[in-house]
Amino acid sequence: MTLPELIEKLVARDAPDKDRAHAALALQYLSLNIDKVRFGAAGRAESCAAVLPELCDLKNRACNVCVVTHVVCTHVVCNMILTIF
Amino acid sequence: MSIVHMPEAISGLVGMILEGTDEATQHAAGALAHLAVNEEAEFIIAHSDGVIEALASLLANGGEAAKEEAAAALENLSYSVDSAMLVAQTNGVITGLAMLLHTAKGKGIEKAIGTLQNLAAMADCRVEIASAPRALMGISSVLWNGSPRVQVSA
Repeated sequence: MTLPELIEKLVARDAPDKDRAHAALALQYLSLNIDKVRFGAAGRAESCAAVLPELCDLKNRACNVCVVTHVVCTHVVCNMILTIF
Repeated sequence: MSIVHMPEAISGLVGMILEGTDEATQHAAGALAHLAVNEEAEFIIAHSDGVIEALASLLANGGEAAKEEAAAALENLSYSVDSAMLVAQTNGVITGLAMLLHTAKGKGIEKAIGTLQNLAAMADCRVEIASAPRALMGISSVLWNGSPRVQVSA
């Protein structure tokens, strides 16, 4: 999921309250790392493996936030998004 | 590109605060609090339409956790003088923060007193804070009963 897609969920007035609340929660977690997480031109988070090496631990799960296809990511932000969406 | 540079993100969070569920308003205010961590972001967010008004509304009408997050956002949005003036001039902010000193616990008190401390750094705001209903009583209460950290802010 890209940042613009996340914003779309946030502003979609016809979306279920739960989805919008989740989008707000995802933004809250993303913004926790705003100093470290940067978004590329396409709106995708740049590699959390590169930006947040101390938080990113490769395991066996695809990360749908990071551009870099980690096969496995337990990065706290990615994990939150994976859990939510 | 970051979240604060996306106007639709900020307006989306404002919309969520105004019309979302209690859980959603809490997350939206929390996001604003986290986003306003540096002066550039603070300036952009404070000058975005409806942000401070929405947070003031949340101070008055939100649930306990949402009020805490609103106070946290206002604390970060009152760090620099320019945006602090906007915060101080918004109806309901100082009154809401003063009420929070009486009704909140822990984090809510810490964030409310922190915001008032930021605002009190500006001479124009001191009289307004001192004149707000129950504000001085709330600050005194924090001085007597708060943790050492919040006592310093008080």
